[in-house]
Amino acid sequence: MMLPISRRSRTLRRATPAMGLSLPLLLGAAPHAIAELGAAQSDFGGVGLMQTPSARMAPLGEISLHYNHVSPYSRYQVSVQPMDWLEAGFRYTSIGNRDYRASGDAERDYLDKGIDFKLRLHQEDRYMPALALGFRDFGGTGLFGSEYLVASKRWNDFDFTLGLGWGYLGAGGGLGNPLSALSGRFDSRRSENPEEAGDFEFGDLFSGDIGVFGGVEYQTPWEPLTLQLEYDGNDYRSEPLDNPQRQRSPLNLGARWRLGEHLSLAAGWERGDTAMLGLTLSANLAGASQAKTGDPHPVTVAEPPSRTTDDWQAVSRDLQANAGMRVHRITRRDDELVVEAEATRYRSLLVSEGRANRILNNRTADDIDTYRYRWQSAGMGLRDDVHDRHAFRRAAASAAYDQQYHYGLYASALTRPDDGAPDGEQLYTDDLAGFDWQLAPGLNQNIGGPDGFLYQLYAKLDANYRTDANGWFSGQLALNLFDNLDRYDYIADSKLPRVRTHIGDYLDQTSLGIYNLQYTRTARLGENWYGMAYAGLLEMMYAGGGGEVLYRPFDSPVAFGVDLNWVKQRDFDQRFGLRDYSTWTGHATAYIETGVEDVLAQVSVGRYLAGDLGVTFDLSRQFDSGVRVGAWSTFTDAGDDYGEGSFDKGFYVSIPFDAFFDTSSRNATTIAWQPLTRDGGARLARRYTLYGLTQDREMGHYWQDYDRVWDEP
Amino acid sequence: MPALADLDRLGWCETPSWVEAWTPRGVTRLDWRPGMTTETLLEALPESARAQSEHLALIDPRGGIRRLGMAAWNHESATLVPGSRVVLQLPLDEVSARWVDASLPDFLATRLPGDICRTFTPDAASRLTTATD
Repeated sequence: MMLPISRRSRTLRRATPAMGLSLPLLLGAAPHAIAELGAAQSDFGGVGLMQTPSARMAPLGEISLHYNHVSPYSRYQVSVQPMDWLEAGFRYTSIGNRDYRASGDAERDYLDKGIDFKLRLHQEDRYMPALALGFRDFGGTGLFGSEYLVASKRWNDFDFTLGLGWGYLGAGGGLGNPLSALSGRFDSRRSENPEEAGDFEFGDLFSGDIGVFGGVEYQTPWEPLTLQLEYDGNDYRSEPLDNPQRQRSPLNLGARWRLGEHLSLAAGWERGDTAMLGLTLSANLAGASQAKTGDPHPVTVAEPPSRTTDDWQAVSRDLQANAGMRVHRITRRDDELVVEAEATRYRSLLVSEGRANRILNNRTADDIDTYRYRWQSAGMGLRDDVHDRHAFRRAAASAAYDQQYHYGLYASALTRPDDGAPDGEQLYTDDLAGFDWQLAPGLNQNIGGPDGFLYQLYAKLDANYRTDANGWFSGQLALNLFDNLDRYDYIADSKLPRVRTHIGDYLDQTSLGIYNLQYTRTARLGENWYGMAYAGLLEMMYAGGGGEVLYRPFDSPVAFGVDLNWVKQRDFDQRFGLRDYSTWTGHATAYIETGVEDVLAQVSVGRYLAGDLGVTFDLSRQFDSGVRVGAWSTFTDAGDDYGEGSFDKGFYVSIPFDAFFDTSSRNATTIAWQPLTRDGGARLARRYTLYGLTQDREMGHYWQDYDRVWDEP
Repeated sequence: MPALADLDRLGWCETPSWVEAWTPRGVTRLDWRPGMTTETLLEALPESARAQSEHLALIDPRGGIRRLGMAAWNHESATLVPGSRVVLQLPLDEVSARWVDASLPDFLATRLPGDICRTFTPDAASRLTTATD
């Protein structure tokens, strides 16, 4: 049989003879087996054996949610692999036989938080093992704090691991620390100190005696099952919180059973007398994608009509419906058609442009040679993408003309410093004024505090009224549906103005609240300059006004912005009432696309809500799927007044809807995790940022998206 | 569709009964069996053919290429379909060997994946020819 091969099939491009194959040949092309060895999550989370880590890493972009129980500990961990060579994780450890003293509830178990890192130093090769350096329970209370150097080497179905551990991991070793030769500070290690939760105490790193740990993992002939044997370097007589455990044997035995792509179960026998049970859910963020079967089909390219259409209203309707373009203006200048529009649907602007080319080609006569797409966002001009119309038409007819079209494509900065109408005959304009709204569920939650898991599920009504291209009212109304905030009881100590620690009062006292109600105006101030001003109820806890200016050259890896706001604290019921506290807050921010593994660095210096001065570092990585993972930390002059945690920090994952739904979308949702809500280093949650609004000043994957111009959903 | 004039040949192949191993010892054809994997293929080869290779390239009949580990420290396994070709990396650390490792799979990806293939040149579609590759 002949296979219907799409004109753009990659196989076809590679193989000169265009071959059809008989069907049985294709059915067998199954993906190769997932390598199971060296993929298991340890009891603490992160790739390893049971109690001990290995030098193995998860695939890039992997995220694992992990639960594990070995009496008296229950551990809940999230691990991510943001780089090939870096594993990061955070964990809650619940200690079943110790009470949570800060909690009013005597039944509640002690809960400890921890952060882990593992860095790969060397990739395995024929002779050398894989080598990694890791930090477990880094900073924080450090109850389980350890540092380790570990090597893993595979031999067919066996994966051997041997490591040296400092701290918890090596507590049973009792070997002298060779680093003591360098400095006396490596001689001994302080025991844990729960009073200094969140402090980053570097003084103890790699100090104290060291111990050896290691083990072997065996891939059984039955692929989903691996077995582990481990030598545990810990000394269970010195468990934290004066909680010694009996250890009959330093050897632990375990098995891991993988149930499909996303779930695996673990069971084991540890310390010679204690059972271990574990469960891991995992997914890969780097490759998350979904076939776009819900998108409209691109229009078929036809012969150009003999005369150009007069019905630009209809053209702009088609551009909106099929190409995801909200058209602001269409202008004809000699043989050029200039379309000024905002992207509303496809993450790739080239996909939008390819679809628009088809629509315009079928409506404009042969004498129009160039289609120019001037992209705008919130009324601000971003860039100019230029297509040779005839080259497009030829390429649509035959792949032989691909190169001519592809290499003829170009994008440029807007050379005029303002967004006035281009010269030429104006065919269509729309001031973009209009109203839209959306109803969606929302979740507020607080995990891991002394009150346990607090949540609030609410219905969220979003409404926008756009007054013109550059101005709009936005509002967000929240109606509480279910919550367990009656359990809310704990209020953190604070020597700073209570700018964030009233969070529980806000959640508790609001059944119907206004989360946001503001007017925003934007302007393009110069060739590379953008501005925005806003006023109203800016966020859940603050009302006021402010503005931002951003310098962002076209397709540049760096941008700089400054924002300044005056805000007043809102009443707990989240209506229009205000409390007494008011302040000035603002930041100067540098945005740097580092060029290293798609990492974006953001550094902000300024004044925070409690009046403290400081700096925020934010590092994030975006995968090809559009998913972004990042972490931030803020250091301010609040110092000891900050209280538990010492400084503000957190992780986030931003997930584009595009990765999960069968219709294209430019929207994303962000899930952030902040271990502690405190008053120091608290930032105003501004609803819009100029850096976000002007994201298409960057070319991103534009040039790599070429093949998608020809994709049929 | 691409312009017909740009194509060398069009056609289809009957499913062959073999898989091919391209090793430092030469090219060997083995009978394909259901459930065959790269590992069972390697086991069927003499030890000297496996040499000290650490990677292999698997070329599927549609011209897709995947590189897999094959040594004790990195071995992976993939299912083979009839007409697959497996190229073992040359156990030499030289520029010319690296060039062969990179180029030979690319070349094989353009070869017909069978012995009995019906192909015809697009500009003479009526002249059916039988090619043995």
